[in-house]
Parts: sequence; C-alpha cells; structure tokens
Amino acid sequence: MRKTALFILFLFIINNVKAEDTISKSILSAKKKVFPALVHIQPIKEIFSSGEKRKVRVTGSGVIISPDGYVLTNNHVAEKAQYLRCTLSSRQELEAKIVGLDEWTDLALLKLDLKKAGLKKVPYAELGDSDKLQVGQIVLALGSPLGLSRSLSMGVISSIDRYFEDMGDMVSPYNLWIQTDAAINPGNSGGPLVNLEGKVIGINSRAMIFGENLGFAIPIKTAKGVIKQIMKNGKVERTWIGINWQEIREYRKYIGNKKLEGVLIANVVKNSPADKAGLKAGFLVTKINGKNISAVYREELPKIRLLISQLPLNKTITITVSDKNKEREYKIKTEKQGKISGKELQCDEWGISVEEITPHISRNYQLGKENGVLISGVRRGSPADEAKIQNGNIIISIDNFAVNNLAEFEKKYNEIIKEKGGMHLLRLKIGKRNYFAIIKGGNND
Amino acid sequence: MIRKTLLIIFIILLIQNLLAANWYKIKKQYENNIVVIEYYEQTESVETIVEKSRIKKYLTGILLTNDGLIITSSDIFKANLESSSASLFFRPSQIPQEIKVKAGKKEYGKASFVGKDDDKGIAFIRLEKPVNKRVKIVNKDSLLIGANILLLNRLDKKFENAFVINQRKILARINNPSEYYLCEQTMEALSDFGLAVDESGKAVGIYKAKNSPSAGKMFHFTMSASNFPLEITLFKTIKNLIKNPPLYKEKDTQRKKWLGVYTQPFTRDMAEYFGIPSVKGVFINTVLKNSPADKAGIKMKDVVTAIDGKKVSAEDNNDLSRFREIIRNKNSDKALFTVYRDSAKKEIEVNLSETPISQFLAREVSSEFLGFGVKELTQDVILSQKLDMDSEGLWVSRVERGGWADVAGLQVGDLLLKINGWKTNDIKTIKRHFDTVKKENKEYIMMFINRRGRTQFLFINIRNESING
Repeated sequence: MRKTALFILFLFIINNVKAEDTISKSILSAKKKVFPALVHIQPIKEIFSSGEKRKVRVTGSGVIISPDGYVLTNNHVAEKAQYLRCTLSSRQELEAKIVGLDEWTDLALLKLDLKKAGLKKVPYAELGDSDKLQVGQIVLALGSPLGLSRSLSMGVISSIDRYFEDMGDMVSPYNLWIQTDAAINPGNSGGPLVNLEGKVIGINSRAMIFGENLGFAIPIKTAKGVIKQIMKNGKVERTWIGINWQEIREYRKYIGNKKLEGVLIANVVKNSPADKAGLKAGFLVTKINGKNISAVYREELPKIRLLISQLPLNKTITITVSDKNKEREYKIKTEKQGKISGKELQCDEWGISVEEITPHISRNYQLGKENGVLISGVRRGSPADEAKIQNGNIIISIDNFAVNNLAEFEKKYNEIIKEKGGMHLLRLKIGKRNYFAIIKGGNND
Repeated sequence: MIRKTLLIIFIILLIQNLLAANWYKIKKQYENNIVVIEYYEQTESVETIVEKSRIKKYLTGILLTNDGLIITSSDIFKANLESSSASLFFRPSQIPQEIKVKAGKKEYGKASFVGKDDDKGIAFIRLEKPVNKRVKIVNKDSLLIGANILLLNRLDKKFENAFVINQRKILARINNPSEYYLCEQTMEALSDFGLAVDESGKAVGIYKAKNSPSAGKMFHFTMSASNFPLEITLFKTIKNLIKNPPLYKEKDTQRKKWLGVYTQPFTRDMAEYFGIPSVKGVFINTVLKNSPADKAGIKMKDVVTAIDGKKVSAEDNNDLSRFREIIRNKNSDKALFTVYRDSAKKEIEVNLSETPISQFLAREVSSEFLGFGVKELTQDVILSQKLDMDSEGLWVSRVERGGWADVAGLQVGDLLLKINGWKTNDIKTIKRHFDTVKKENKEYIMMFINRRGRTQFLFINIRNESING
C-alpha cells in the first residue's frame, strides 16, 4: 500500500517536472526567435515647452519585421523625433529613419540604416495572426521597460476585445485591444507581444496607471493594415463622413425588437459630409454601399469605423437608413480624416509656440466655428507674457488680418518680425470671450 | 506756573477722556442691538434630488430700525442671484430657513429673509415682531487713517455668544469700486461681520472680512485667513440700501442693470496703436449676442470714454470694477455711451436691461422616479460650459447617486434634448413628460443628450421588481 502511494507520488513529480520543462522550453524557443529582432529605441525628440523648443531623450522599444530593417513601434515613441538611435539585441547601434507615422492607431514604421552600419541584413521576427488568440493563452512581452534594455516578461491573455473610449489625445477608434497580465511598463511601448510559437501578435502600447498587471497591446492585424499603407504611401489616409456611432444593445430593448440589426447615429458633426447629406442623430443605419452593418455591442463599433475609413476618398457612398421597416438611402461625398495633433511653430520674437488647430483639438477645446492657431506655450518674461497672453488662447487675428490656419499665421508673423518697431494687435479667444493684446514687433535695438 | 501747567494738562487729559469712547458705555449702548442670527442652511448636493439634511449656522447681525430690520453678511444666502461667471456648484440655492434672533439671553423671536446685495456683500432679515430697539447710525463722511475704530461683534457659542469689542486702527482707504477702509483682523468672532463704531462711540459703518478670493466662495464655509484685512464700509455708502432693502422674490427679484459686454483696460499702448494717444477709456473686447449692448450697436473694439457725460477709464483690471459698478447701479435704463470707434467719437444710446438670472434662480424640476433634475438653461451655464449662445435643451442639474439615471450614465452638466422622442426645451413642459414617463411605466426610457458639444443616446432601464421579491 505504502509502496503504491510512494509510486504515485513519484509519478506526479516526474509529470510536473516534465510540464514545467515543456513550458520553459517553449518560452525559450519563442524567445530565441524574437529576441534578436528586438530593438531598443532612443529617440531625441523636439518638444515645445513653455513656448520654447526643447530636446529630450526618451526611450521605447520596437521590433524588426523584415531582413532589410523595417521596424514596427508606437507612434508615441517615434513622433517628433529628430534623431532615432536604435540598439539591437546584439548591442549594435544603428540609426533609423521614420517611414511613416499613424497617430490614429498609435503605430509607426521605421527603417534601420543598414548601409551606414555595414550590414546586409538583420534578424527579424515573424508576424502572427491576432484573430486566433484565446483568453488564457500564454504570451511574452518583450522590450526595454523604463530603459532597462532587452527584458522579457510572461503572462496570459486576459482579454481579446477590450474597448477604449477616446480620452483626450489617447484615441483608438479603429481597433480593440489585447489585454495581458505580462508586465508592460513605460519603455516597453512599441515592443512586441509574442505567442509561444515566437510570432508577434501585438504591439505593447498602454498600461493602466495605478493598475497592476494591466497591459494593453494593439492586435497585429491592425498593424498589418497600417504597415501596408505606409509601405505604399508613406502615410495612412482615412475616409471621414462625420458620424459618431452608438451600439444598439439598449436601443433594441427600448423599441422592443430583439432581432433589430444596424447601428445608431449618436452625433453628426456640423458641416460634415453626413450633415450636408441630411443624416441626423437617431437614425438607424443598416447598410453602407449595400453592405449590411450592425453593432449590437460597442466592441463592434471599431470594425464599422474601420470599414468607413477604408472607403474611397472624395467619392459618393450610399448609406441606408431603416425607419419602421422602410429603407431610405442617403448619398454622401466622403472626405479625408483630419489629424489629431497639429504642427507646432516656435515664435522666438514673441516668446510663444503655436499649434495648428486640428478637428480633434477643436472638439476638445469646444472651439466651434473659430479658426485660428492655438497657443501651446508662453515663455516667461517674453513680450507675449508681458502682454498677458496665455497658454490655451486662440489667436484669431493679427491687426485686421484673420489668421485662419498655421500657414497664414506663419506668413503674417514672419512679415511682422522683419519690421523694426511697430505695434500689433492680436485678437485672442478665451472660451466665449475675446482678449486683445498689444505686441511690440521686431527687435527694437 | 507749575500749577497752571498741571491744570492745563489735567484739563487736556479730562477732555481726552471724555471724548474717548467709554467701553462700558458702548457695551450698554449697543449690546442689545448686536444680535445673534441662528438659521438653517440647506445642504445642497448635485447627487441627491431631495434635500435631506441641513446645517445650523450662526451670524452676527445689527438691528437697524425699530420695525425690526437687521443687516448681516450675504453669507446668510450664498447663491449668486445674477448671471456671473462664478463657479456653478457648491452653493445652496434656497434661502435660509427658520431664522431666529437673540441678543445674549434676550430672545427676539423669528425673522424672515428680506434680500441681499452681492456687490456689497450684505443681506437683510426682518423680525416678525419688532422689538423697538435699534442702532442709531451716523452717516459720517470719512474716517481718518490712524484713527481708532471699535469693532462690535458676538463671540461663538462656546463663549456664550458674549458681546465683544475689538479696538483697531484704520490702516488704509480704498476708493475702488467704491469707498471702504481697511484695518487688521480681530480675534475670531461669531462671524466676519459686525458694527464699526468710531472713537466717540458713534455707529459709523459695518465691517466684513475680505474673503479669500476664490477658495472661500466655492465652499459652504467662509475662509477668512488672518492675512486678509477687514473692510469697513461707512453707512453713508449703503444708506440707500438700508432705506430700500433689496427684496428677494425668487425669479422676480429685482436685479441690477446689465450691458452685456466683456471689457479690458484700455492701455496707453492700445491708445497709441489706435492712433488716439490721449484718449482714456474702457475697451470692449466682447459683445454678447442679443444683449443690450448688441442691440444698441456697441461693437467689439469700441472704447468707452464716458457714460452719461461722466468720464470712465481703466488702466488696469481694478479700474474695470468701477465701470461695472456704474452700469450696475444706474437708476434708469437709458444710458448714453460716448465711444471711440476707428478713432472717431460717437454717442450711442443704450437701453440697459436687468442682469439675466443665474442658475441659482432658475427653476428646477426633478423626477424622483428617474433620479435626476433639470434646470432651464441660463446664461451663466452657457458661458461657463462653452456652449453656443443659441443652445437648446435643459441643463441636468442633479443626478441622484445610484438612481436609474445615474446607472444609465447621465451626468450633471449634460443638456437634455429629448426624452422618449419628446423635445425638452421648456421647463414648463418637462414636468408633464416626467409624469407621463412614470405613468407609462415602461422598462426602457430613451434620452437624447448633448455632452460637451456631442450628442448621444442614453437608455434608462427601470427595474420594478426588487431582487428580494
């Protein structure tokens, strides 16, 4: 009896050792495949702070996805970079250039300068299939957390369809997120999330502040689409019609039709293509260009936005609205999706930096119809500071000239600073009120 | 010789003594007229529909007339009645309740709220049964810097509401927007409000602590740090208010005059820029749509140099408050503005209107069933929420925590545009919609709202059965 028990115990131990052995082996083999393709990115960025351009060095991660040195990373790692230094796993340092940025998905594609480094090819990682992921599956997160290079952490997939609403500049309208408990820290950003086959299934991008083991990765499927477009055009262009969508889960219950399909229009942006076509909030849309669309749950909204973003630009599309089982069609002329963040310009003489007002900024600041440029920083003690101009003010006009955009502002500003002396009247907007400031032009010395 | 000198000195001392205030006499003279006001303040919260609690509060008051008029601090009712850009929340919009007045051990009985003046920071209440007692006020013309001033107040409950006299010196005279004097803080009394008595024992004015500008106003309590001086206002400055106290009549409360512009100082640089270097005035930077200024044709960039022939000017922000004061306190609606436009002088006649009401005076209708309340959209809400001036809808002023609307995601500040497809533009019809919704007793209710410039639908799910059966 005792012997049997002992034997069983023995068997258990052997079994356990074996299981641990297999996982360990899988991890090691996966690591072997991806580790050489891991890149530690140290961009020197030019950012505007208190009205001045400043250089800062940040740190992030990336993954090489082709032998000729294309690197996939986050937009927030690469954007505004003046210089990109990449360190490979082999500790070799290479320079890289930006091929394309996409702020709407927070992805960026870089190209390593192999020639300069005297290399013919570099190790790269294979891209996997993020559609086949399962909750509970073991994944590895690779990167340089907090600048600690070449680090690996392990976890499982906690969720495959995490949905995030837009929050300020953090937007992700076109994708759901992979949630993992593998440790993702700042600096891991842009690094790969890898399955046990050693294939990249996501790009680690976000972590929850004050959360523990809550990391989020962009599915590689989203990245694949972005890579394809950037390779082709150097940028990602999207189509925009000006509708905010809402899922119909509760609407179904409200009207008492459990089988209702479609998606609800929550908001129509003023003067957008949809507005011009006569679409209104509250309409139930069932088809786009004859193709059925439906979002019962909000997790289904990204795919509808993606579908619209991929429609041809400046072309007429048909939207079918269902109203009490009757269908109506609306023709909409598509437009190009605007930017999130705008270009910035430093105005040394006045001591301010100004930013282009994108549709995104306009919405966040609730600017309405106002055209102009946004003051993103004011240098202390500068002429602008003395004229009580503040961060967040909008410059509407200079003297009697309206400045409708950054280009118009830049032109006017350059004209003014060439003059000697003189005074200029700036009309600024603060919320619903104006403020007029006098700035003395040019160098008075 | 020596005797004579001594006599003179003695006489001088005697006269001085006679002239100087005798504290005992002052106590006797004023003790019964400096009263303790006891009242209840409703604690208002955006998270409850029904007011559940109230706080007992105390203030010092001064009996002014034989028929029982008492002046006190406007802290007694903190809500701004007129449209202003001040913070929107945290202030009770209900007048003080169950006011009782006493002086030491003498009970004067119940009193009711009369009205208040936010610019001056004073309020009035009236005893139900007059007690035939009053402070004899003196309209003294000015106070001398360095002169002694006695500040009369009541201490708080732990000191048995004892009558207290503090002696201070007048430190400064300020003329903007209207005349007042500063002196140092005194010991902490029942309230930062009391009677100011001059050296000869005459009641010359009231004193108030200058509240810390922002923090104190935002919360229920008044923050008066010791580094903020006390302000003494002479009775002559407020004699018209005492004669005709402002009357609180909810939405019909008489309000001050309104032009409907935003202004900024017209600096020398600006004068030079506009080619009118010698002109002084007030610069109009914004004209609100459909305001009296807009209707009269006052334009952005106009420089106002005179109102009814009286010169106005502002070199810094402090001067702007005087401009505001002149307009607000005008007796008639008609005002003649002298302005410079494109360096040419112009005269514009304006029909001033009453200042629009603030959200505190706006009618509120709430549905206990749905768990939220709405108010009509007032101008102060439109401006502070950066809404378009022609915005529609009612403004969600309360959402009951844990109520059905809260669960559905409704937030304070949302604009309610529709409920179950009915437009909700009018506070008069919303009550009917609320009643219908309750009567219909459907499981789902659809609301169409505008949140920060973007519309969306919210669905309220009413669950009638409780899980306990």
